[in-house]
Amino acid sequence: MNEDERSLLTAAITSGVRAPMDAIERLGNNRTFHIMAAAMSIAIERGFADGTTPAQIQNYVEDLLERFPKADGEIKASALEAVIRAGLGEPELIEPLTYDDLLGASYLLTFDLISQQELDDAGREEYFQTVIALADEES
Amino acid sequence: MALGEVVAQLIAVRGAIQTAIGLTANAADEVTDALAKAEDALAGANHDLAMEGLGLWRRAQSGDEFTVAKLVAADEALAEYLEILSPGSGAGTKNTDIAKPSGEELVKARPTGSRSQNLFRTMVQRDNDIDDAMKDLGKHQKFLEISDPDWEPPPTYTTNEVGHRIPVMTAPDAPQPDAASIGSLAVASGILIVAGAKKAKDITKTAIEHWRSK
Repeated sequence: MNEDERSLLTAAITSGVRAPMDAIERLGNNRTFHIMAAAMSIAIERGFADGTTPAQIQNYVEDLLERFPKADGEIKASALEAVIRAGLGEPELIEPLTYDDLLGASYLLTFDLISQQELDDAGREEYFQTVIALADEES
Repeated sequence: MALGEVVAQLIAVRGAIQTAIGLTANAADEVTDALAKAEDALAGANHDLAMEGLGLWRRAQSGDEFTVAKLVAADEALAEYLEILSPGSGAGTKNTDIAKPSGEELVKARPTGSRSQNLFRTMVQRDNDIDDAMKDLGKHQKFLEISDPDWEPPPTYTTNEVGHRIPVMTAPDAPQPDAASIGSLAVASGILIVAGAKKAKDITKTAIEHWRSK
């Protein structure tokens, strides 16, 4: 994991940290998207147990958008529900989503689900390493 | 690409789908291979209808698993497109011999990974070009700011030396509006609410041109 990747992941899970635009520019959209897709995939796996129902996911998304009012209008509730459900075994729901939808969902869900875990330094490092290992699968 | 070649590619996909229905994991792999070949062959054909037919199949595909019901639905969808492309040729004949499944009988296409691996792969193995779709790096900034509770949008108004509230101009050499123009903008803003988007756009443009001309 290089410093740009660490910087991106740190910003993604830390409140009040500005987007590391220089790092994102160096990483490029492709690598940035892969890292954020991996970060969200693992966050969803950790945040939602097998058997979580669509109704429970809908409730979570409603609550999420209430807690992050700036996301309202920027990130679609349907996209958030679709990626969570995709992570629980309905991957076809992702197909109609745009990269904007996926990227927006990845930032919001990663931040919310991982910050809820209150990881210590070791836990955060382990999460980062797991994310990069997954992102490297397709890079 | 000639229409006949397009039809041939779609028939090949149909054949693979029909092979896969109710059979083995290997047969489902053949569907994936046939689909990939057909997509490659059709990529330069600019044949929207054919690609739409394959899109239907894509939607019927469910990640690492193919349900028999979805395979049957995909086969029927392709048959309908083939009948449009090549009416009366027989290519679009629906296969009535296929037994409709009674439940969610699963045919594994390939080994499944963890839930996170499957989601990640589904997200990144899309046909679109990410760089092309995400040209604006500022989108990253926007999305990351959403999770910053202290972030505030940049001000759209400021106060001048005599206490009037005026819009913040983004262009460094943009003329600052006088009181009358601010009044025009305020009236326009009020009208926006009731006038509808298109009309409102025209009114705002008129108001801005008014004070810029002063």
